Amino acid sequence: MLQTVTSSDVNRSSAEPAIKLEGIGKIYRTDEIETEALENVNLSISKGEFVSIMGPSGCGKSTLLNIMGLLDRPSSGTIRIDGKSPENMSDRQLSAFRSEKIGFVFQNFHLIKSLDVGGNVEIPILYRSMNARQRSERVKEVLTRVDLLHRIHHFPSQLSGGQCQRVAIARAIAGDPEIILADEPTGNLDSKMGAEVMDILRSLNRHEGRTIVMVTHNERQAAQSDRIIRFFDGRRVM
Amino acid sequence: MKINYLRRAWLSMCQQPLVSVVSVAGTTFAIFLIMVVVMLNEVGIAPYPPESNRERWLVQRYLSIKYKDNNESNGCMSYATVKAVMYEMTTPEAVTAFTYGNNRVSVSVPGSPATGCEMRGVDAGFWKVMDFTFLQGAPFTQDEFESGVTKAVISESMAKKIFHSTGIVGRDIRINYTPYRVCGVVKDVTNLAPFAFADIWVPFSSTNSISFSWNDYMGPFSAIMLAKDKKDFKEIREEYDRLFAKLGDEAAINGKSFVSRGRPYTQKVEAIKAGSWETPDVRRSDTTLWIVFMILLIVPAVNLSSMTQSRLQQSREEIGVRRAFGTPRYAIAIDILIENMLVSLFAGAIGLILSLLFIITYGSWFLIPASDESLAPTGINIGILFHWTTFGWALLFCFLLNLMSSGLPSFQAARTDIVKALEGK
Repeated sequence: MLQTVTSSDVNRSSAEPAIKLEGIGKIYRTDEIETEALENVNLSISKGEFVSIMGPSGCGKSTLLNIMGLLDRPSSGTIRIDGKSPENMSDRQLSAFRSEKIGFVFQNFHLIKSLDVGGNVEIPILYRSMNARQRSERVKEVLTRVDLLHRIHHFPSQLSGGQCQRVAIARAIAGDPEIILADEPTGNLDSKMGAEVMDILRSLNRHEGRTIVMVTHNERQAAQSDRIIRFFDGRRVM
Repeated sequence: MKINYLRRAWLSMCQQPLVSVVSVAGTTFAIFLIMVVVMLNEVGIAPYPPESNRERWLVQRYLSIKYKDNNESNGCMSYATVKAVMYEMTTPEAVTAFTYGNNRVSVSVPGSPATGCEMRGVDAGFWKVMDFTFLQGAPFTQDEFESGVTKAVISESMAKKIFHSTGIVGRDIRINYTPYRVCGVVKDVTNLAPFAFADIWVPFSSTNSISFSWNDYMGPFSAIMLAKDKKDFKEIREEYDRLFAKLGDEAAINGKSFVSRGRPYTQKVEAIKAGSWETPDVRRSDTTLWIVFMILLIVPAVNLSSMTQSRLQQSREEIGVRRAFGTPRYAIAIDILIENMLVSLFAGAIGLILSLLFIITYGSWFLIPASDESLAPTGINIGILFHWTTFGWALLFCFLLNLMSSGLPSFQAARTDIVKALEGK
């Protein structure tokens, strides 16, 4: 069995890393089978860094992203987001923490069909201490940033794939999170639309200083990030 | 842009039309059945004209007397008892005594055949306690009652039947061959109002019911004490007990004693319709009713629960997205409950309307005895059935049904694993 390669990641700022994973393992158990999706993963991502995670299908990239996004709990190891461990947080605290710190962009957008664009973008701030007017202003602000304000009352079914992903990006930044986790954000888009989405993500990183972790299969897009981390069979190999 | 529950509920229903239709139909049918039971029960309790004051009256329908040998007499009161107790009361706003039970009489006018109808002997207080609508004329006064005047108040249907008109105040009629003068015509009274109902009302002082009694205390009369406010019930009962105790001292000399059985009764207790020899068991009656409600709720709730679960299966991705973006579990559960509550309310409203239509159309089968020969139409109007309490019951049962059918599914949905939900698993 291969030993995990652990490299000491370079801290790009003197502050706490945005994401710090130590000895993360993830085992999926069924009645008969145990599947080890991640094994002893150590990783530190600095604030403001744009990191791409690459690897073959089933190597554990998305599992890692889910753990970073506090959507899933590791079987072993510890995780710290902006210096805080979510381990002992209640569901309410964890939900608030996730909403405040992390935004998600999914490959298949995951927009809610029954809500219009405005409603979808509003989701991360619905449970913030903001009144309806403040929420509305925030929604308009982020939709303007992705150039979709004119579509605010449209429903996802009325948008193109590229527009859907831009709405998803607007939703990811509506709560003003420091970290954006993007799981193959261009996977379902053609090259032109994919390029548009990458431009937005790069802009969010460069101009707004957001930390971006992107899972991708696309070498060219990965090359646009600050660092590429490669995974194989649940282990980090580079 | 706050969550538009109505739209979401509608879209959620549209995702699985067949399941939604069955689910709405199930809720409708459950609420329909429950509301039929509620309304059949409410008819005996809720106030409606002319028994509009049910909420603030106490009823003395029967009296019970125990003899030395432990035998009992149970029945209505004699005039002597009414005078010694009911008419001595000062706490109530008004007191009325009236004949209770079937009193079928023959009414005629010269030149027309006689008509059979229901007559009730009443006192002047009857018109204060009850809420009759006089179409013409007025009731007899206290002085007229005391003088034993032969005046009669008749119902609209009665007036039309014997005079073919309602403008008949001052005309003469014969009741069981005794001449009476019509002093008022009132709107018909439903047979569902057991104390007010009749086709014709006369002062009982003009009949022989005053002298009709046995064992000194029993006779043909029942009584109602109208409180100024429900808060006065305690004081009225105290006065009632005092006066009966006084009468009891006199009865004891003859080896008789009064058995209270918790009388006088509020309308809710009275509606249990216990026999004169029984003490109404309110707890048992309420428990039975709630067991019926629970059975009517649990069976559809179990079925609806699986349908809610099926509909939620379609929303797993959405739940995953909302959880990922920071929506806490409790908010997810509440949102699901609200969405389902809207569907339940919609179905409940249909169920309520159907139950009203059913009772209006077929209610008389359940509520009015087949032997009823009164002249008043036997139909049940919506005013009798539909009160804020009926609406309140419907809302309560919609809420309960919703909680029972969506509670567990919403709790489970809120605890869905976010990653699996996002994957639609």
